[in-house]
Order: sequence, then C-alpha cells, then structure tokens
Amino acid sequence: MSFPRVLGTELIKLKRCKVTWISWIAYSFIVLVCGLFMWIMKDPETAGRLGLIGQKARFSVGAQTASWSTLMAMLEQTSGVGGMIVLSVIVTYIFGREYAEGMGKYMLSLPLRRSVIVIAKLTTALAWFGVLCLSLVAEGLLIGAALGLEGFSWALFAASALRILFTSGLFTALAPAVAWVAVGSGGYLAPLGYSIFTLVLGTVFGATDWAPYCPWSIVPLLSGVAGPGSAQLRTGSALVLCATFLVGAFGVIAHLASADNAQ
Amino acid sequence: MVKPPETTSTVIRTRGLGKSYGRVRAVESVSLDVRQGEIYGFLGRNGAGKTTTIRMLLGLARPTEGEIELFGRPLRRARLELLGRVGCLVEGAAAYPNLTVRENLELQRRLTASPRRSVEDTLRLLGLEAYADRRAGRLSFGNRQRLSLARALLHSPELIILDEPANALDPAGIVEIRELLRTLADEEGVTIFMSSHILAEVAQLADRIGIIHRGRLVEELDYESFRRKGRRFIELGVDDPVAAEALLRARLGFADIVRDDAGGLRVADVDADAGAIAKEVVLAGIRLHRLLQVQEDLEEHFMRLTGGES
Repeated sequence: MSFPRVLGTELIKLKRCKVTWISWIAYSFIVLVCGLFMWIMKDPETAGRLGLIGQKARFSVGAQTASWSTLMAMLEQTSGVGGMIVLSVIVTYIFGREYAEGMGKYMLSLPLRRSVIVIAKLTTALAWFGVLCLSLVAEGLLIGAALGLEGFSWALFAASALRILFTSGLFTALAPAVAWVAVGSGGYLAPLGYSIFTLVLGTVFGATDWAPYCPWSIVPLLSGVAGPGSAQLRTGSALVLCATFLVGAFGVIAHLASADNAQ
Repeated sequence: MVKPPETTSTVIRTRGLGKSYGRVRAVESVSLDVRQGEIYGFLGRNGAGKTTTIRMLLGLARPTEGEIELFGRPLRRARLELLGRVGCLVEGAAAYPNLTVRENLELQRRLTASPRRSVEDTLRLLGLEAYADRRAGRLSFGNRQRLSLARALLHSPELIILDEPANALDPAGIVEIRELLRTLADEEGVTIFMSSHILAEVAQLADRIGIIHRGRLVEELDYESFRRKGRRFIELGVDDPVAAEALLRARLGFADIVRDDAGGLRVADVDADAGAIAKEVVLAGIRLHRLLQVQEDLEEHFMRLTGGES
C-alpha cells in the first residue's frame, strides 16, 4: 500500500513550514476579532473612550448583547468565510509548492499512482484544516471564558461547535477544484486568483435565487454569513456540492495522470 | 548509425519517438538504443530536444508519436514498475527548502520503499555528511546538485537518467561525480543516460553518443572507437561533385559520402584512401583542385553535424 507512505511524506513536508503557522495565526485572528467585539459589546463605554468604536458602530453594537450565543454565532459566520479562504490557501500551498519549489517533476517520476498522490495531498490539506477548525472552537471557548460571558451551557457550545465543524467540512467539496487550478497552472498565483474569484462569485450569487445551486454560495448561506438563508437550501444543494467535489477531484487526477506536466 | 550488438540487453529503446507542442515539433522520429551498463551521452544544443526526450522517458510528457520501451517493456503499460528501477535528475537541482538534506533523502527513501540505511549510505557516497542537517534552502547550488544526484541514486536504480548532471559543480565535484558514474556503470552494471551540452564532460565519460539537432537524432556513434581513432575523413574539391560522387560510389564502393554547399565532397568511409580517390577522379577527367585528409575531434564533429551556426 503506497497511500500511508505518501501520506507520511506529505506530513513530513510540513515540518518547519511557515505556512502552517501563518494559517493558524490567520484563523486564530478570527477568534481574537470575535473576542474583541464581545468585549466592546460588554463594555462599550471603555471601548468608546479608547477610540475602538465610532458613533455608527456604537449604534450597531448597541443592538446586540455580549453573550455566549452571540460569540458562537459570530464564530460560525466568520469561519464561514474565513474557512473558505484558509482552506484555499492550504490546498494552494500543498499542491502549488511542488511546482514553485521545482519538485513536481520528481514527484511525478516516482513509481506511484498519481491518484494516490492527489488523495494523500487532499487528505493532508483537510487534516490540517480540521486541526485549525478544532483550534478555532477551543480558542473560542477560552476567549469566552476569559471575557466572562453570560449564558454558557455545554449544549449551546457543543451545538455551535458542531455547526462550525459541519460547515467547515462542507468546504471539502470546494478544495479539489483549487488543487486542479494549482497543478494546471503549476504554481500559487492562479489558484489564489481562482479562490478570490469564487469568493466573489459566491457573494454575488448569494444574493440571488440561484444561491442554493451555486457551490460557493451554499456554505456561506449555511453558516448564516449570507443572511438567514439556510432555509433556502435544498437537496439540489447537496448534489451540487458532491458534483463540485467529484469534478475537482477527477480533474486534478486526470490532469496529473495524462497531461504534460510542465514545470 | 551504430547498431548495438544483439548480445547485450537494451535498457532504453525508442522507436519513431516524437513530441509536438502545437505546431512546434520538439522531437521528431527519435529511435535510439541504450545498452545495459553503458554510459550514453545525449548531446545537443540548447532547445535541440534533449530535455523533452528525457521527459518522455520518465513519463512526464506524453509522446505524440512512437514508442518507448524500458527494460524491454513498454513504458505506457508498465510505468509504475519501470519507474521504480529508474533514478533521475531532470531540469536542474531541486529540493524541499524547509527540510534538511537528510530529511529530503528520507522522503525519497520512504517513497521508493528503500532500506533505512540507504539514506546514510547515499549521504556518504555523495560527500554530503557535513551538510546532512542543513536545510536544503541554505545549500550552495553545487551542493543542491549533489543532493539531487543523491536522490536519484538512493534507491539503487538500474537506470539513471541525468539531465546536465555537471551543472553548478566545481571542477573537483565534476571529477568526483564522473568517477562515481563510471564506477556505477563498470562495477554495478548501472545504465546511465546523460544529456549535456558540455562536450568535454561527455567526451570523458560516454561509451556511446547520440547527437540530437532540431529534434532529430542526427547520429549515434560508438564513442570508444571514436576516441581511439578519431573521426577521419577525406575532403575533396572538384569541378563536378555530382559526377565525382557517383564515380566514387560505383568504382570504389564508398557509401558515406556527403556533398557540401561549397561544391566539395566529404568521404567518411573507414577504408577511404586519398591516393585511390585522386587516381579515380583524375582518370575520369574530373578536375581535382583540393584533397585533404581531416581528423575530427568530438567538438568539431558536433559542430559540423549541428551546422555550426548559433
């Protein structure tokens, strides 16, 4: 079985890798920002004196109260967009680095099935992203406790944490297409551009009736970042996500297996 | 063309191999044979098609025509099994910069399912022990080249395909690698297919040479005999080269005659004798105004075959 061997080497490749830390810092930043908002809501007068909120923000902050349910709802929404960006960066790095570091040709001239290479890389990306999501939930718990927010219950926390993990898991469907762009273009730039483009596409379609059928709108819709639209999601949405995953996965495998792999 | 003897097994065999990128024909009808245990120098100018050929041999580019066989089996059908017997250095040295030299080799060891001790053995073989714990991103170009060579050799391949192996190495490093490759070929029967545009490097190492020019394999020669005897030919200037060529073919039985643009003839048959040629030409009433016996070295031979122009 070559899969465990390839997966093992993919994990070794992350050793001393700055991008792992950068992605963790970026994802933790979401928690810090949510925590900062909670603190502002909790004590708007001090925040106002420190110049942290203007009149406009004071108005919107005044409409909400600092509590565990607000913090977790905020984490769900921000991770709904942040997760899409962070996972794209991870996938871009894992696939694109082979070309950027001149190792693509060596990887592909190994006696390994190219589908195994793709699956091992995607597994690594998803495992890495999974760790970040768990870390986000844990940091949310820590920051909520540190701020002394009211209304905590394990049931509320667990339900919200599961929603975060579930919506983050749905991003898996979008990852192979990013990998396809990375191997097709042989580097970092095109997949990052593609990710930004799909983020914009998801936002634009999120405001239309087509949102439940646009793969990049479905997860933000579910996380609530695109408004309370999860009710709009239909069986077709699940099929669209499955199809997006399959097209991306077959695309990247077929590209590596059959095309000229220029560096 | 030099035909490989039937007694030795052929490790690389291509027939009518070609590769086009759109309208550009990068490689055209390349048929070559590389025997087991020999060092085959693949010579060509920049852009001649060397790297494209190597990419096809490694399954990195799909041929648009022709067949490739490694170890007597079609690469297309047995890629995984065949590539396990091949080590390569292609299009320059590379390594994962965040990993140390040892970790880079450890990756290769795991991916090729090689024994544990192979990492330390290869570090020693390539003189990289002192750099074993240094990150690859902090290596000099020369040592990065050594690391790439180490990765190519780690799993003890039976065939090593090297694209410009001497790049970035210092003179002592070049000698060391040359001796290492010679030993691998002579003592362990490893076959080495090596591309280069540095003639001196190939001249000192290769057993046979293939010269590729504008995508076509223009000559395969047994460099061992070329090195011993040199390439000798006779050049003559006559007023009627067409008649002179026909005469020499018919009367003296020469086969290797080339007419040049300046109206001269070049007779490269091994047994060509200047006296006999002069006699036949003069007796036939053809005016002979130049007769030269030329001894070519590899550089002159290469320049002549590839046209000499830049």
